[in-house]
Amino acid sequence: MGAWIRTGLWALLVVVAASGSARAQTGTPAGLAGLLPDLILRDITLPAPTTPGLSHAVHFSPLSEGNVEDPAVGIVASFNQLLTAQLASLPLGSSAGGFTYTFDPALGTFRRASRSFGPMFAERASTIGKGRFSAGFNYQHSTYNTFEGEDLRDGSIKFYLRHEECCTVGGPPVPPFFGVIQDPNGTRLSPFFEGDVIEAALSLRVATDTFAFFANYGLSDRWDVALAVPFVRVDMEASVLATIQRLATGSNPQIHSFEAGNPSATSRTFQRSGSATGLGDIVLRTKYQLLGGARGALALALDARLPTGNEDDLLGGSGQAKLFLVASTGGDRLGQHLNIGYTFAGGDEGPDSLVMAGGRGLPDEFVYTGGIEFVATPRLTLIGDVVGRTLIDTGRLRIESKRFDFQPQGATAPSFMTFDEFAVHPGNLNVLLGTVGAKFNPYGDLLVSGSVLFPLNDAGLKSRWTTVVGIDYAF
Amino acid sequence: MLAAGLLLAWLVQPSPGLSARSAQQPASDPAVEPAVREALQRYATALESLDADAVKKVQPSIDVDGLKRAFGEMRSLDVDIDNIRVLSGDRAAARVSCRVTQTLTPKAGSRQTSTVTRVLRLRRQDSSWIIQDFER
Repeated sequence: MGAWIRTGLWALLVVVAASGSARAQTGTPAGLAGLLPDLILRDITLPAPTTPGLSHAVHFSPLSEGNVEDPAVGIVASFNQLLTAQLASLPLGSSAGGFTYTFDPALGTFRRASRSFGPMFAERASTIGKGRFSAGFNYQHSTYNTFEGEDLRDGSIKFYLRHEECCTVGGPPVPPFFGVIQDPNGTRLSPFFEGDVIEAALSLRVATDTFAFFANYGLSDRWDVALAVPFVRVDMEASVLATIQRLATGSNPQIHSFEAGNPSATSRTFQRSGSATGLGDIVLRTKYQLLGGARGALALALDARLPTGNEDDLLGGSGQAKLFLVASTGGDRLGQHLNIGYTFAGGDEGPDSLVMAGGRGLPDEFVYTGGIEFVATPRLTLIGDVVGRTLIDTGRLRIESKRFDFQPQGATAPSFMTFDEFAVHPGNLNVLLGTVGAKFNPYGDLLVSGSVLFPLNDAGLKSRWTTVVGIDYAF
Repeated sequence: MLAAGLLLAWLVQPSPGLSARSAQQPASDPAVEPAVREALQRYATALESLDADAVKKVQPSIDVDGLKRAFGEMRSLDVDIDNIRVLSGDRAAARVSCRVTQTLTPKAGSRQTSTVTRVLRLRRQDSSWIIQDFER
């Protein structure tokens, strides 16, 4: 058994790693994964001047300039990467096969393997039973509100676009370009208009709808195989209010303006939106019950997440293999379950894919889910779960006060201004969700389920409520 | 090698015929079978009544609490016991094989049927017979 699992796991890892590498791309992706980098780092341009002279049209647009070393690029890319990694790997509800009666030789009759209908976002150790088959679907809707604790919709997330170094020679070739400047001559602050920045205040509406089909079959009394086929729709509507911060050009406001010849045009809104619908990442699951009894059971399960979803459109990620232990215990009315495991990702996050595309490939994850099931009546089970995911080495973004140096025309020494902006830090992203729900048996082997998923911390992308409804039928 | 040889010898040895097996079985008292059938009928009726205490009267060793929990999930249970064969027996005890078919209508979920062949031991207690235990 152990050798079989090891062999299977490595085979899966090879497959998912190969698929992830094959899908790695260079440059901004065409789909939704590239929407934010394009909007923030490419679209924000100034009009060309009405009179002949130096054009500043793309000097705040690092992707138009081809300057991927700009600090804003790294910040936006990290933001996009964290966003897309979470969107592309939403947890799916599971079909646990709610009705399992086994013949108990000691009792001389049938015994319900579990009085509970099982958890929503976890597996339980009991299996469906040899030759039994269950199928169903879940519909899941999420609308995202915050990112790393910051409101996504009200423009409170701000990025600062530095003026590209257009004219100087001999300036420092590595970030930070806006470090303390001792000698303005020949540096970033010379000429003086290098000191302006554009504040890009982002308002983002993101929603996902996932419709997932499930099927579960008992190969033996201890061994289940299952399949989940999700169809995903992702909607993104992004708007950026770009405001020129005239740090250095106050005395010469014609230089940077969103309307040629109109120095008071310091703000303009840029927008992009898009949606994508299609097949998500198909999940294949096998579960083997190692130990089982009337009061508890222990199982080992393996999920293979196939990279069938379009990564560019955030419908899926790269392949993953998740190996996890499932423990269930319980009495007549109250049951407990615990899933704990590790997800091996096959994604390639090489340097080409890192900057522009954001979430190219999914990270490894440590995953855990624990919860309780309360059998309110034989037909109704109430469920409460805590779902934890630690996305390994994704990095974190934290708002920090940053210093921007500038030197107005005619000034003899540089000044500085501070703005709050995300800063990239190494580390893991710990996403913690809670869920409460119910499963109801209105007739025969039909189960109707409903639950809400809500965040328990501020990490990463957060939806205030994710609603899940489903139907499950055992044959 | 020795183990392989013994295994091979065991595999190729002639299978004893039905008559030989019958000859090896202890003879049973003809009066036992009607009493056994009556006990098994009481057992089936007790199961169908979903009354754990009634089952306990026929099978005192039963886990009454576990059976009550199991019955608590049932809407009805149909029990049919046939193919009853007294493998051995006398006036005090008997070893019996039978086929038990149970059709469960649960409170939650759909109807399902199970058929198992069971071997059980019965013993006489006062004027009636009770189930001592199940061998399988």
